[in-house]
Amino acid sequence: MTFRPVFIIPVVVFLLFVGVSLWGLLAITNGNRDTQSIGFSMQGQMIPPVTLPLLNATDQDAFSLKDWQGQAYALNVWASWCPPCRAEAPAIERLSEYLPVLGINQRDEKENALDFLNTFGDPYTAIGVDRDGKASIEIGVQAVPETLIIAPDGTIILHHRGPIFANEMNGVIRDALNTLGITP
Amino acid sequence: MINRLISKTMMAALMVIAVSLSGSLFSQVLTSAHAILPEEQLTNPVDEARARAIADDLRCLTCQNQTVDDSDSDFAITIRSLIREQITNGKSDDDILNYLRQRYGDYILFSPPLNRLTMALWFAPFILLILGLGITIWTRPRLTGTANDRKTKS
Repeated sequence: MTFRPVFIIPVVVFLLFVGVSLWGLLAITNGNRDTQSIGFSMQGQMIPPVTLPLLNATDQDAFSLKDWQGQAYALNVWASWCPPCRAEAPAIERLSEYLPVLGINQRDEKENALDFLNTFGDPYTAIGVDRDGKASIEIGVQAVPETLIIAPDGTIILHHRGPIFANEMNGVIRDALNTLGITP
Repeated sequence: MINRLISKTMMAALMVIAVSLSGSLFSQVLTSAHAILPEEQLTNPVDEARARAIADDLRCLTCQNQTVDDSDSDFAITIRSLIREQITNGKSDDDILNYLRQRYGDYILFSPPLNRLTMALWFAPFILLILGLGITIWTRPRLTGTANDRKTKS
C-alpha cells in the first residue's frame, strides 16, 4: 500500500475543525474573548422618545425622555424583584453624584418598588413605570438591570447590560463620563 | 494499511460533523413549540399564524438556545405581545423584524442573514459534505480491477 497524499486532506480538515473549536472554548475560559461584544446593544444609536407614567404621581405620561433632550443623563432599568439591582444600588447612588439618573421600574408592584427605594436608597431624579416591559424593549433592554448613559444630543454613549460594580465604575462608566467632560 | 484506517476514521468523523452542521440549520423547521398561551393569541387566524412564524425565528435573548415562540421568559412574552400589537397596527413582517434588529442586532434572528461575516456559517457544512463525498469517491477501491484479479486467479 503506497501513501496517497489525498488521505491527508480529511485529517487536516478534521484537525483544523478541532483546533478552531478548542481555540473558541479556551479563549472564552481564559477571558481572551469578550462574550459581551457578541451581544448587540443600543450604544451609538439615539435614545427613543419613551413616555411613561411616573412612579410617584397619578398623572399619565409624566415621565418623558424627550424632556431631557439637551442634557446628559443616565438611565437605569431596575426592579425590586431583581437581586443584582440590589447589589448595584450603591454604584447607582455614586453615579448620581456626577449626573442625573432616571429610573425605569420594570414589571413591578408599586409598593415593592417604594419599599426597595426605602431600603436601598433613591438616587433617581425621576422614575417611570414600565408595567408590561414594552418601554424597555423600545430602548433595547433585554433584562434588568441595564444602564445607559445619554449625551445631550440624545446619543447613547454607553449601554451596559448587567449590574454596575466597582469594576464598571472604574471602567466603562468612567470612560463614558470622561466623554461627556465629567471627571469622576 | 494504518494510513488507510486513520483516514477512513477521519473521513467518517468529517461526514458526521458535516451532516450534523447542516442538520442544525434545518432543526428549527422541525421543532414545534407550545409555550404560547390562549389569551395571547390574535383572533384572526392568518395574523396569528404570521405572529407565530415571526416568533419562531427569534432568539429569546435571556434564554439558552430557545425561540421567542418557545419560551416562558418575561422577555419572550413581551416580544410576542409586541409582535401581535405591531401586526394589529398593520406593520409588515419586515417592519417588525427591522424594529427588533435595530435594538438587538442580527443576533436575535435564528437564521442569520447571508453576508460577508456569515458566509462560512452558511456554506462550510456543504463544502465539508462535498469534500467528504469527493474524497470517498476518489479513494474508493477500484472494484473492476479486483474482479478481474479474482477471475484470473480462479
